[in-house]
Amino acid sequence: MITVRGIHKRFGDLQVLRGVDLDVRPGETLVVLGQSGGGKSVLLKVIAGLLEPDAGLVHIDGKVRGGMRGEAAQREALKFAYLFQGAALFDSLTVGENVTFALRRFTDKSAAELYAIAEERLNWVGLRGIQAKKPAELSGGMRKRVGLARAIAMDPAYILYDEPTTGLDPISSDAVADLILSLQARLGCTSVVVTHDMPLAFKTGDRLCLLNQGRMHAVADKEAFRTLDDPMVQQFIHGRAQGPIQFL
Amino acid sequence: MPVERLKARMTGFFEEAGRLFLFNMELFRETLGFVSRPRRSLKLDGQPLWAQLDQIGALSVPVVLITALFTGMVLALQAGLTLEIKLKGVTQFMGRTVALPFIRELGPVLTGLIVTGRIGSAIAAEIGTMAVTEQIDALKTLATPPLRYLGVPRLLACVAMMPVLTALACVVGLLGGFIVAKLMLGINGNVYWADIPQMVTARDLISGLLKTVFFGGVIAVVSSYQGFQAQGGAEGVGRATTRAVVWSSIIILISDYFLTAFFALFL
Repeated sequence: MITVRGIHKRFGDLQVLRGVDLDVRPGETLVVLGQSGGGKSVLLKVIAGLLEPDAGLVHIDGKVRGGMRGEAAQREALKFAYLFQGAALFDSLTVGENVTFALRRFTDKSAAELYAIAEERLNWVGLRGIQAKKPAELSGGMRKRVGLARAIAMDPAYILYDEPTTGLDPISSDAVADLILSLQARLGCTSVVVTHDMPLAFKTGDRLCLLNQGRMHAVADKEAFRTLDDPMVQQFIHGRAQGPIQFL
Repeated sequence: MPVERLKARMTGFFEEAGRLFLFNMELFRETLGFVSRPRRSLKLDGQPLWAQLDQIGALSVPVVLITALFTGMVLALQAGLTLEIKLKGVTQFMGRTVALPFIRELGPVLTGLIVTGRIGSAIAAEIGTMAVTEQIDALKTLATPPLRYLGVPRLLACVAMMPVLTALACVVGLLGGFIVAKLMLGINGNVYWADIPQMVTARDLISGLLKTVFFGGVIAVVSSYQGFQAQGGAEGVGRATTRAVVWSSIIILISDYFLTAFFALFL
């Protein structure tokens, strides 16, 4: 369970988050919607421990995020998998080395075992026979899928997806949505998906929420969210430039 | 308003100094952690350390040696012409004339500047690119401290390889001097080599090599710091690379004076 309370975050003069409260229930997929530049990725990075909030707390399974040191902090970090917008694969390593990066550091598995695990995780994301390739040889969609294979290599309890379909065509986006659902079923983990891609949101999310002006504006179950009597939510769902949400 | 601009600049300077200080402390702490548990550290981060030793050491050898060879040759040529023409009959001092400046100053500083150009820029560009493409954040999500994984291997490799490269540069520089002395100026080779130990002492060798340990540290710390601070895409990476080379070179040249004075007093 992830509990977010009163998160504030400012970059210079720009106040990005203004007291965000959020609960992510065990086993669910929560989709965070919001405008580009509205602070969704910042919120995700705060949950992942990549950014320190100026105020507020994140609790993971009842424990304060970032309150641990040494091996406990390492264990806490490995509970999370993070899919970056641009995949963030390590350029100097091969696909296989990227996927098994954490396994090589934190387990004593042999080279053959590592190869087998990398192949299995790559199969899960629909790729095979590319372990020897370098990230520069892959397409954008393949890079994202390798990023996902790397993220799930340590069997995480939480997967955080940062704009998983940005830059992909509609068919590839739908494939990513299927992938999220299949990983959810396979790993039984809790997921947070940050996006402004409505088909992806409605396909993968158990609950949806709208972040606006640095605050959580609305949270509801998928079907309830779709019919919510809220001008901002409806403006966002239908992608209208006119309405209460100002164009940033 | 000039006063406000000055105030903003001063604030910026102290903020930068504070960030650099904290970076140094963190890098120092991580390095101590690495060397205090070598077996575990090598299991975790052995691969990047070997890669950096190869990159900084072995792959820098050709450019360092070519530079040293021709610097030794030109030093001998200049010295030979001066000794021949202006001070007739004293060419037997050719060995010391090449060796003394080379071992004390030229070898360490020249190697430092070449490694800055070749390795400092590569460190800043590589880490800077990782910073702007979220690869450093990716390391954190994989429970890997970026300074431990990226900074420590580069620092250890620079500090370990600089004295080796400098020693090689000095040997090849003296060889370059010998080639010119023998083939162009007709000086007896035995006289050239025999003159070197007359003036060059163990103290010169030790102080020259100790300087390069410091220079190696400067290159790694300044370049890694600039890389980690890179922001804003390709332009930010370019800026970080330029700053890494400029600041490393300036610090090497300034610190060389103070290190020379220090060794003159205490060694």
